[in-house]
Amino acid sequence: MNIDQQSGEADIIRRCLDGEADSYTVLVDRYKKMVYNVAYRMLGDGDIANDIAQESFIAAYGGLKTFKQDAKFSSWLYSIALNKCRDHMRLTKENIPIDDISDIRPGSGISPEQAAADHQSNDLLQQALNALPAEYREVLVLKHIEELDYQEISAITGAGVSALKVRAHRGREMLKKILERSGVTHG
Amino acid sequence: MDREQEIIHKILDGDAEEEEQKTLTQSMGSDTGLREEFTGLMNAVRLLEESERHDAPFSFTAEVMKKLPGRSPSMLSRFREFLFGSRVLRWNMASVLATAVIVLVTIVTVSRMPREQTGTIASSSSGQDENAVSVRLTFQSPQAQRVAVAGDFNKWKTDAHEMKKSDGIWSIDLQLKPGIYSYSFVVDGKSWVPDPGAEVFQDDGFGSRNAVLKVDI
Repeated sequence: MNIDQQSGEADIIRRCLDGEADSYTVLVDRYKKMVYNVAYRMLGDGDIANDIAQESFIAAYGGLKTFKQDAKFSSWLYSIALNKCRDHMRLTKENIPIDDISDIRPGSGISPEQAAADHQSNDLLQQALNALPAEYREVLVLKHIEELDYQEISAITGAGVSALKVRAHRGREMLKKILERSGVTHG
Repeated sequence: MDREQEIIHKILDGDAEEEEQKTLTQSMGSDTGLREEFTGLMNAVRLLEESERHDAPFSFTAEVMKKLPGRSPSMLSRFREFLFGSRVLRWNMASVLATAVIVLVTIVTVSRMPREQTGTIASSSSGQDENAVSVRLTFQSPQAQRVAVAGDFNKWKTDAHEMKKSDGIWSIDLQLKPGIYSYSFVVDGKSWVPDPGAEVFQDDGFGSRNAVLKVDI
């Protein structure tokens, strides 16, 4: 995001606060893919991700007056979306313990290059992500899918950079084991 | 966490120094397990990085906008809406007839009011005239070209009451309500002369005097 975009967003937010709700369309259009994708990767279900992403935007709109203008709107939005995801996970299901992963479909010895290229790999990846503890999944999604740096992830999650690196380390190790069990072989 | 594993994750985080990378490469040359560990982690990260980014459904934005809670607009917006917002007027015949009667009564009332007010004012005005007393002031000054009288009754304007000259005597008739007035004659627009015929004088606050005139009913 450049400075122009950020100041443009500040202007949009001001207009929303003045009651011009239609201005919010710009922000929804700009960030819907980002929020939906994070929700999808965190929750592993398109319909639920859609609901959570919508709720996130609605909650963000309701909280615009608390948004600090010098902050990054996308980070704030990530934070809201992740909180919604955590709430949903708390209410619905527990994470699958790492030693009890039986529902991950075995692959057929496909390489990561092949796997990444088709939907099967996405299914496998999503199942593997679903099997991770939420806080590990969270940092892997933000770091390696959303490609954010640790400083920004820290701002989003409220966790320190060192703690995030430890979570990423453990998360990657667990993900590797799950993928290996599911048949994604070493390249 | 041993040293090599730490380096692997530093590489995956993009934090590893060149020296650390060399160290790991050397270690992996003689350690198959470490090499597999590194490859497995790299593959997992690559799978994440190359994964499909899911897009929101087509109707996503519309759905969000439809569900936004009703917000109370700011004072400015409400004022703007009050001034410029368009409104739909609903009506029925009873309302129209009632409005017509109110408008008619208002027109008739208003059309009468100015006449009555004018009469009152005129009456008041004539009352003032009735209370006013005619007072003649005179001033002898054959050499003067122009003489006026200025006082409390005309807010000390020097050109409000010009006197008329007849046989070297300047005079004016004033209509004054009962009261006490200070005044002076203004000769040729520059000299202030208190009325020599006055019975009472008072200081004007500027080192001179004004004549005092008492008007009784």
